[in-house]
Amino acid sequence: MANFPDDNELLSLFRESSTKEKGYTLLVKKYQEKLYWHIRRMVVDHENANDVLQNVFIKVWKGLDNFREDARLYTWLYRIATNESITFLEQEKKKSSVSYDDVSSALSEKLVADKDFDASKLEWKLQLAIQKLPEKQKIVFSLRYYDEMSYEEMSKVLETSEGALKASYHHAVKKIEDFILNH
Amino acid sequence: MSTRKDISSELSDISKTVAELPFKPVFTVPDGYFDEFPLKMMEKIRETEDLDVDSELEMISPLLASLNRKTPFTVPEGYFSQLEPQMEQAPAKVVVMHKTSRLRIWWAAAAITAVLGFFSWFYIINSNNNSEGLKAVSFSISAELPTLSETEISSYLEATPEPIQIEPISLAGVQEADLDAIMNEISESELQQFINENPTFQIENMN
Repeated sequence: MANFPDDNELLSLFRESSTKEKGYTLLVKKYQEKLYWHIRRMVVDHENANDVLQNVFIKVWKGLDNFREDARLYTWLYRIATNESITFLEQEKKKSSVSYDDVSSALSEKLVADKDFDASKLEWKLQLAIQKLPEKQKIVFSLRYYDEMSYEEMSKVLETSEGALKASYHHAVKKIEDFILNH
Repeated sequence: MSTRKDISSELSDISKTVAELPFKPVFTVPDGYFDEFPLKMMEKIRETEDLDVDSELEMISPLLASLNRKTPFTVPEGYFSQLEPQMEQAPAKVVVMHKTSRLRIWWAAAAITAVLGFFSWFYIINSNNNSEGLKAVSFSISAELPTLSETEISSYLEATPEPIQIEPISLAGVQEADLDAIMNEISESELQQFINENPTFQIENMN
C-alpha cells in the first residue's frame, strides 16, 4: 500500500483553501479501496458500489469541515459508508416494494449472476452465506472478518454496545457455519 | 484495529469450519478503477460546487480561458453618451401587461362557477331525494296508524318509558269570539283540574 499522510495532516490540508483539493484527493486515495470493498460486500454489484462510494465521498467533502477531531476519521468514514449502503438497500426495497428477505434473495441472485461465480468454491459459498444474514449481522461480520475492526471501533461506527456487537458476530458466524455445512 | 491473528483465534473458538474457510476475495473491479476514481471524484465535486467563471472555463477549456476576454467590436465615437438623451426623447410604447392574464382570470372564474353550479345542483337533487324518502316514511306511518287496534297502541305506550311530550296547541286562525264561547262552556273546576293535570300546557297565538 502506498504511503499516505496521517489523518491529521490530511485534515490540515483540507482545511487550508489553497490545498483543499489536494487534501481531499489524498483522502480519497487513502480510503477508497477499504470503503469500496465494505460497500461492495453489502450491495454486491460494482455499479451500485461505485454509485454509493461516490455519494460517500460527496458527503465527506461537504461534511469534513465540521468533522470533530475527537472521533477518528477512519470510523467516521466507515459510518458514512455503512449508512449510505443501508440507505441504498432501503431505496431498492422501496422501489420494488419487497421485504428485506426478498432484497437478500435478490443480492444472492446477483452474486450467482457474477461472471466469476463458482458454487463449488468455498469462498463463493461464504459470500452466499453472508447474503443470507440479517442486515446488522452482515455488517458486523463484514467489519470484523474482512476489515479487522475492533469491537470498540465498530461500536463507534454502528453506535451499538460492544456486547451486542460480539453477540451479533457470534450469531453471524454460527449461521454461516450452518449454511456451509448444509449447502 | 484488531489483528488478523486475534480475529482468527476468536473465529476458531466460535466455529472451526468458518475459521478454516479460504480468505480469498471473490469480487473484481474494472481495470484501473481505483487509479481513476480520485480524479473522477474531484471532477464530480467541482460539478456540484458553485465555481467562479474563470475556474469553470479553465476546467472546460484551458485554451479558451487563456484568451483575452475583451470584445473586439467597436461602436461609433460618443455612442453611449448620445444614447441616454435619445432614449429620454423617444415616446415610450405602452405595453398592455395584463391582457392575457385577465382573460385567464375570466376563464378561471367561469370554470369555478361551473364546478360550484354542478355541485350545488347535485346537492339539491340529493336533498330532494332524501326529503321524499322522509315523506314516504311519514306517509307510511300515517297510513298504518288507523289500522292499529287500541290495545296495540296502549301496550306500545306502556312499553315506552319516555314521557310523551305534549306539543303546544296552536290556536292560530281561531276567532277570539269562538274562543270566548268555548271558554264559557268550561267550568272553573274543570279548568283548574286540566291545569293541575297538565302543568306544562301552554297556549300559542292567543291574539
